[in-house]
Amino acid sequence: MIKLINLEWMKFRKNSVVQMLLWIFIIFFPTLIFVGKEESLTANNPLLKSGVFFNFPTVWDWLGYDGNWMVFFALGFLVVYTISIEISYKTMRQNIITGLTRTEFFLAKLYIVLIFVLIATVLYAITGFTIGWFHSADPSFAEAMDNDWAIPRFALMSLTYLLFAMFIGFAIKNSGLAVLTYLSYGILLEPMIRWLGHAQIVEEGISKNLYPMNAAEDLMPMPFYQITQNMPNSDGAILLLSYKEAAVTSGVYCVIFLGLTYYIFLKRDM
Amino acid sequence: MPVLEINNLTKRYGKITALNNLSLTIEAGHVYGILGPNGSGKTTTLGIILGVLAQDDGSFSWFGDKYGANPRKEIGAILETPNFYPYLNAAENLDIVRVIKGLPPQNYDEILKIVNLYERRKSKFRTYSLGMKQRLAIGATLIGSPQVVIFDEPTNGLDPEGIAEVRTILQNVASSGKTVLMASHILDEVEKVCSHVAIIKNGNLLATGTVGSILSSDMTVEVMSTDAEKLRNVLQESSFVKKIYDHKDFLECAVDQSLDTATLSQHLHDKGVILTHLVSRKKRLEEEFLEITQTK
Repeated sequence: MIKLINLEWMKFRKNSVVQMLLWIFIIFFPTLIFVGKEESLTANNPLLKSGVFFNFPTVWDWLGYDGNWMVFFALGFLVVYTISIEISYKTMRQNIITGLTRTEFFLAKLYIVLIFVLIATVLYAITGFTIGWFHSADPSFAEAMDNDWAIPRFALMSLTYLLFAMFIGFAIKNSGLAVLTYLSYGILLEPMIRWLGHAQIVEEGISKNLYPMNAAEDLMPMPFYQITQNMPNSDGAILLLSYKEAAVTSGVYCVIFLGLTYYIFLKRDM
Repeated sequence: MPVLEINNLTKRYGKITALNNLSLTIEAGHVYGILGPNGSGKTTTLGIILGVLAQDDGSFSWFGDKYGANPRKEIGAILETPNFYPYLNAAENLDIVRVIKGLPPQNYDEILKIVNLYERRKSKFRTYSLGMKQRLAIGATLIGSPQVVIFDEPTNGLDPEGIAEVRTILQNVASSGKTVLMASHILDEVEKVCSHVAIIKNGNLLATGTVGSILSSDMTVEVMSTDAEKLRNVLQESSFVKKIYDHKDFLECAVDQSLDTATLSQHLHDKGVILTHLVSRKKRLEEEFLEITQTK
């Protein structure tokens, strides 16, 4: 395991795209939520007072939603990129010729995904705790941790995004097309399938919410959406999966992505 | 014990059979050339025995299966193009090869000097010329001093100077006692470097053996006279001439090995033909190759 992680480090530590995306993630993930921070937009209305987003427990939701985008874009892009350039540079093939087994190559990429999940989750936990502690009126550890399993939810969300990225990286041989497919599926294709296709055929129920990117997103949804969930609506539309539903669905997708990626990689000619 | 045994290897791409029941045995110390025109199945063969392509049928065995399912750490190989991380320098790229092979840290100066890249060892791979990239790839095959080295079209795309440099390195590697397997469509390269040769075309093995045995016992003689038409007629009537090929400035004849040029010259002189050009040589691999691949 250490050998494979070290090998990945040797391969990518001097890659400028990897360095740039990692720094973007490390700098912007903890700081992006401060953009537009205003303590008293309208002093008498606490809902419009953005400072509330930095208190426990709201900070976990707000920072989680920030991380939702950052993990998908920065780390997901990074995972697709680091796999697909190995295909386009033909270094994946050369690694196998030199003596790596296919399973070792696969595991090396999986370890990187797990390390990214760990980095993102630790950063989320430290940043959320720090911001909440300094913004809450009378903070306590118990109050900080009363967050509806936010840290494991964030880890599972990150894992789902990054295993999807890993699947795309291995499945699509062209690096540009792989990155494009990853981003466009998450941003455009899946929402279009859900709302313009699935929702037109199956009008009620949660089935249209069970798509992979949506399930992962619902683990750390936009805080505002959680409010609308409790509002009455005319057609019984379900905007969000519950945390439990989202966790189970994401977990199933993680297993599917992992299994499919390994199967494709073992069977395919290079 | 053979280093490599290939038994009835078959590979299909849809309806195209890239390899058709190919069988080869390569003994330790052989410098083996796989010779064939483009698209004959050379790279497919190497891809299968190096684990990047799956065969549809047949089997192969490295070192008598001494190293289990992954013998590739005991082999240094390049397949088609040199493949390295473009943003890393020569030593950093070689270090990745070392780690994959599970070797302890080492200094690459000696290898880089062998492949004449020592002065450019700190330059990024992407700044190298094609010849330099190819030389680095050859250098990478030498890490850990593997028992077997494999080169696939090692001089492809190089200028004459690059070809000469790479060929010298290959000859040095071949003379070091390693088992060498080299795929090439350049006959001259195989003839100069290899001790054994297998000729394949359309995925079929046409001939295999030592380079000496593949070379036939026939001689080739180039002749020309002031009266080319008369020369041709006399040659056609001569029992020791097997074939005549027309060239722009001379006629080329395949003749019995026993025939010496003095006898030929006297025979033609007796028939009233005065020669202006007479060159005798052993048949080259190129001619054998063309004959084998065109007739089978």
